[in-house]
Amino acid sequence: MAAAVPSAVVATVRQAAVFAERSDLVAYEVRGSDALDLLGRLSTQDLAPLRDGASVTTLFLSPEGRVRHRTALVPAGEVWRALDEPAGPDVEPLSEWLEHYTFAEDVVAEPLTDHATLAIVGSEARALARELVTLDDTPGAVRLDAEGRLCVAGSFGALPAVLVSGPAPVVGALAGSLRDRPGLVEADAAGWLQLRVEAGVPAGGAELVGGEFPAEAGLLDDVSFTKGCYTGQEVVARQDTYGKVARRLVGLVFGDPPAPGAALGDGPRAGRVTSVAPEPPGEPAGHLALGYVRTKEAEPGSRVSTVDGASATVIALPTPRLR
Amino acid sequence: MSTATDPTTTPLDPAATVTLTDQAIEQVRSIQERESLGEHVLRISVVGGGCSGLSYRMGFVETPGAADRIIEKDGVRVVIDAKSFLYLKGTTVDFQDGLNGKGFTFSNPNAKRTCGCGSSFSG
Repeated sequence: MAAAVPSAVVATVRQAAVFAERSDLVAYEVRGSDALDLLGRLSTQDLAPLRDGASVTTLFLSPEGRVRHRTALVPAGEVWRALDEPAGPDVEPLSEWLEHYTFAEDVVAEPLTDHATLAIVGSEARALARELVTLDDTPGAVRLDAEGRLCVAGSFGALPAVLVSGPAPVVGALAGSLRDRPGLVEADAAGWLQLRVEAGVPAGGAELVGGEFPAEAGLLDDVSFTKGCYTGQEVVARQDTYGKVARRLVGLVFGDPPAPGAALGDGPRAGRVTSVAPEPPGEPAGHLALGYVRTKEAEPGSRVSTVDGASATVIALPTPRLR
Repeated sequence: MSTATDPTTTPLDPAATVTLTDQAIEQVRSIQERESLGEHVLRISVVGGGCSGLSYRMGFVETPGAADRIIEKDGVRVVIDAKSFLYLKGTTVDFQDGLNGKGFTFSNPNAKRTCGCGSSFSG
């Protein structure tokens, strides 16, 4: 089965599910008697209440409060499993980042080699996971099965989603079985980009390049405001208290396709276009993109322009056909 | 005051020492007596995490590690692991009590920034 065109990917998400290889995610094992302690001091989420069978998506921030990693963390017996999305190609691997903060603690983080991760997104994602990998459909539920597949129930924006990570041959076999199922479509890079932009989901290397605050990128669901100290907390808490966030990630509709990276406005608080959907979304008419704009321009209906004069309208995401 | 020294530098070089004030030593001894930890040593360490990226940690342990720096003064033994010592060189540890006291405080010339509560810093 060939990958579906982008518009078919979005249509199928509402009716059934799409699946895609997530080669941008890196799987790790974090081991050691101090793993929970160290991860807890660095993580934006409270890890202490987690038990085997549950997961959480957390952020690891710089001391200045900027997103460096967005990571699904799973306690699995004596180890922690991590599915990590670095904030861009210039960000150090999670294992190196953790090593920088490791002093005398008993903690080792190692990437899992020859692993692959599959994402299943859509209204039928969790039912599929329940059938194929015996995963409970409670958000955050986790299953590590006998084949070494780590299955995590979560969300992709507002859409139900499941991640399956494990040895590449095993995950490949699952992808093969999904290709044989009628009603499902496989998303290639263009289809995944279409879905991601219409859903308003930020990605490492595009919306996250190592310098964004969680509030700017719409990632405050990955932050606990009731746990103790973590690296970067002062900045996040201050932004939350005073509402002083200079930029926000929004959906933008242009008359003509903009170039990724195009500056929106000028000056030190200028925004930029981050991702452009391959196809128009149908409704609203025009070419859809994600981008950062000044907070005062972030309300739906606001008009913004690139420095080249291309104008756009801010819209609420997800797009109507994904709601 | 009591100091820990890097044997490769001049013992009185402030930049190569970790200094505990008399008040800090006195408070440590007081805690040891109260909690019957007279035979334990005080470990001062830097750990990752905390709002500015690195944090100070203090606790009593039974024995020093093989590569620890050791201070011994007035019956109090303080140990610091090698990696932490790199971040703590030149630090003065004090103790401030009273109504507005902060407890143990760290004045660290290596800290680029310090959080509001003083327990976390960036190196």
